[in-house]
Amino acid sequence: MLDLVAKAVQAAVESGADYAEGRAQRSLSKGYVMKNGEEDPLRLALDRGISVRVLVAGALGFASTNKIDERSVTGAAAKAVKLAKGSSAHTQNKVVFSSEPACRERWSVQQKIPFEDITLQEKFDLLVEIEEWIKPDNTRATLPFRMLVLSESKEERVYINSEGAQIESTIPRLGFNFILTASETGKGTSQRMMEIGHSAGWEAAKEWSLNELVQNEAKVLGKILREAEPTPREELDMVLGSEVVGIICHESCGHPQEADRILGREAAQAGESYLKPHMLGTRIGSDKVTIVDDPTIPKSFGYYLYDEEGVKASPRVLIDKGIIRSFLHNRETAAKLDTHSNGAARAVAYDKEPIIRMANTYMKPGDCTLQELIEDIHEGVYMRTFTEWNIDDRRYNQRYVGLEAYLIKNGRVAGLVKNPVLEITTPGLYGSVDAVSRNLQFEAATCGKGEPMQAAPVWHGGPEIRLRKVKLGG
Amino acid sequence: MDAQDLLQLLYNACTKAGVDEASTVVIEENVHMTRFSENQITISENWDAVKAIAYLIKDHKRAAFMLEDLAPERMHDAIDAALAWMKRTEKPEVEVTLPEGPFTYGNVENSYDPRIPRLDTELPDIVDEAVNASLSEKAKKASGVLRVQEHSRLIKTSGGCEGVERGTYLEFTIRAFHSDDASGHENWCGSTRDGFDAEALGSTAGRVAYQARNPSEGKPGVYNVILAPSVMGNLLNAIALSSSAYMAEVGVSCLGDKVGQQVASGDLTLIDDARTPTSPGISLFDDEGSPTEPVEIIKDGILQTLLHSSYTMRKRKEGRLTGNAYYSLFGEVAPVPRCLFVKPGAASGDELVKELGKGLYITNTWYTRFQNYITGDFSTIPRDAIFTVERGEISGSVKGLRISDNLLHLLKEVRALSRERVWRRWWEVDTPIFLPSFLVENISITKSTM
Repeated sequence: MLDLVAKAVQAAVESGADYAEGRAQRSLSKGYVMKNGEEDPLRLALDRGISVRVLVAGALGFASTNKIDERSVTGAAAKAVKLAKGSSAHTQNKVVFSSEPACRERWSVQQKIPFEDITLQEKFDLLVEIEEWIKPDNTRATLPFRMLVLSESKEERVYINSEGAQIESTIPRLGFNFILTASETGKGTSQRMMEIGHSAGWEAAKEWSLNELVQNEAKVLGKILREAEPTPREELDMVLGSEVVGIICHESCGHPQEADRILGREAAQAGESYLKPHMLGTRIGSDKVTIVDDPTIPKSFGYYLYDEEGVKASPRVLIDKGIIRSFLHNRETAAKLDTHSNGAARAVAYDKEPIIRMANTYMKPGDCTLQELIEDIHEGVYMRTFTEWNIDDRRYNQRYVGLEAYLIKNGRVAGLVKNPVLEITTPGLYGSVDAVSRNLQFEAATCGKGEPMQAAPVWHGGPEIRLRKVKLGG
Repeated sequence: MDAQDLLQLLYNACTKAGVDEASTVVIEENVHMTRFSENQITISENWDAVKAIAYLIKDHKRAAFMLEDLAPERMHDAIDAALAWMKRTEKPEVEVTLPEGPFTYGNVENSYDPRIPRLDTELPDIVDEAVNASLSEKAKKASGVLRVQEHSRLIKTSGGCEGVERGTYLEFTIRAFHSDDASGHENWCGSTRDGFDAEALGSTAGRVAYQARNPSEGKPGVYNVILAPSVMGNLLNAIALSSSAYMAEVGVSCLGDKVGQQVASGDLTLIDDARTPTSPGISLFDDEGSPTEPVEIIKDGILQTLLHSSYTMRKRKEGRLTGNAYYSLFGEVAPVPRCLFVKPGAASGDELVKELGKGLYITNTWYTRFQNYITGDFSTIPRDAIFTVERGEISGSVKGLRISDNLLHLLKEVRALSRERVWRRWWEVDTPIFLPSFLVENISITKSTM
């Protein structure tokens, strides 16, 4: 594939590209599914293809093919150049890429226990065992609908650009997700969805304690149906669990700080941002709030060492003690804002253009315990997990509906409350944070952006945090 | 290797490997897309891809795979992996078989428009026309996407089904902004160029953006609302997906146990039909080989059926095959809607506003998420113009609101539909849908509390 990618880049330059990059990707993904106690068909997909992206007279062109022969890939290169030439007269503000070092590197994530060494039986046994653990006798919950999905994938990538960069990488990922529905006569239903994922081999599954994890979630669903009381509506304090903090960091910090959204490139799809380029340095939250996006966390679901423009990845501090500190950049937005790329360009497949994405976004932990966050609350709500959530397309008005949530009374966790709704603006939320725990945890997720849609593996996470004087909505 | 040779190669490899039944499909696509933002083109793209799908059954055990890696050894790897899985798994209770053909698939008029592939070099000019039309309506900027494609799809099954279909597709989305919080959105799709007017779409988006200028903060409460086609296109996509028996099996459907019940106002009739001429979702056969046919999902508010594959039909001992089984986002061959139609009402758009009297006119939403898929509790966020309506006329615009309600409640509160219908298929509407505007009563509207 390396030779073909090099030939594609060369063909693009010979066709008139001022800049060209070629990417090849081969991937294999498998999914093992247990649905309501029965095995679903094996899920299997194999991809391989090459794409070429070019800059011609300040316009971008892109073409891809999965016909892996010299004629087809050089044809794709010529097509990309032709498309860019055709657009250049319609592109007044010319696209320029920031100047970046031409890195040459080969990196991979090693599987300590390769997926291939684990039998199908062992993989399904894992799901069968979970099924046993969540039976009504073990959970006090009746679960009429259960879907357990174990997924594994391996991506091999090659990247070459006309400036001399060359990156080769291999990344395996192991994931697990589930949907559980609990039902109780006269009480209705309650649902839980959750995803775990690592860039690693089968060894990750051994660290997950899936039986206990899923069983606990099933027990909680049953308890919610039996015990949850209505949520108070008056002004109160809140503690948000790390799962909730993670989605908050992703939705109302990571996304609005993607520079392509700030500059309007995603306006018709994923939307824009409440932030403007001049707002770097603006206070958006309390000094307890520091949020980082870091692709280089070992074993993380959003792990990578070089992005899909060949730029070396590094941690990005997005909010530093409440101040907007940096945006996520690719080479195009970095040039527009007179800075350098911080390696945020990702493409999920060979046939997708690299666009700005998060990797692993999280709030930095503080030094409190969860107990210390709670003991200082006279009356409040502890939202440990969430169900429905959404945010407007400028990332300003957001909503998180609690699933496992408790009343806090006089510094102690009391009974379950039913679906508390936190509907709040971004500065309202970050400005209310007055304490942060030391317990950093991550969840895996699949983030959607781009047209055509690109579903990228990410982590988001954080510690528990406390919000003061919040009015619940809903 | 051409598509027919690839199909035969895959079919032979599957059947010689010892499966009882096999359905093999090859899809060829050539797509051109031009994206634009801030009034200019951001990128022009082309995808040239061949994909192969195999659905295998042995001892009633099922496996499916999709190949975009067409190396022969990879094809054999996939078949081996599927066979290994089927060998290991226990014989299922459901004895699934593929549909017995052959069938006559016929044709749908105007599913292929030769003018569409030839548009590839004209896309920048068409985008310019639309953007300029937006700006001439006092929008400040416009963004969007123009996509044209031609595709062919071939099938060969051990049930004796063989077929070929060929089609074209055009999709256009434009979002015009007068300011950060005043925007309008327009969208069009079809299998032919007839009826596509980029300039008119750009003009409408720009006009709506300008009309929505200077929005005030909206107030939460219970409102009577007009939900424009973009809003209902998104919500009825959720309903149509809920009608998949697969979704019902997983517990992520609010319709799973409601066949024969009133699930919506009597004004709502929702049909899935992949055979309407010029429509954007034309398909003659599904991935099991069943011929497609129109399906009334909801008729006069009553849920008529769930959508089925051979497996779900036998599993649930209900329904019939209607050509809705496709290799889908679920990673298996499962029932999904293809092309949706809503029966129109009698009112004109203006009459609908008059009938509303007082309330909100919501033109678009995004980020629909469910609190509970079975109950249908959900919220979705308006993302373009929200107009206030007083005394039957548009009186201003508001912002910062969210629809937070229950999907089945919303459908039961439908009071009227417009007679004009439009196509919707864009980032927030996966399955193309031809539908009117809806007047809906007593909808809960919420907003941020701080």
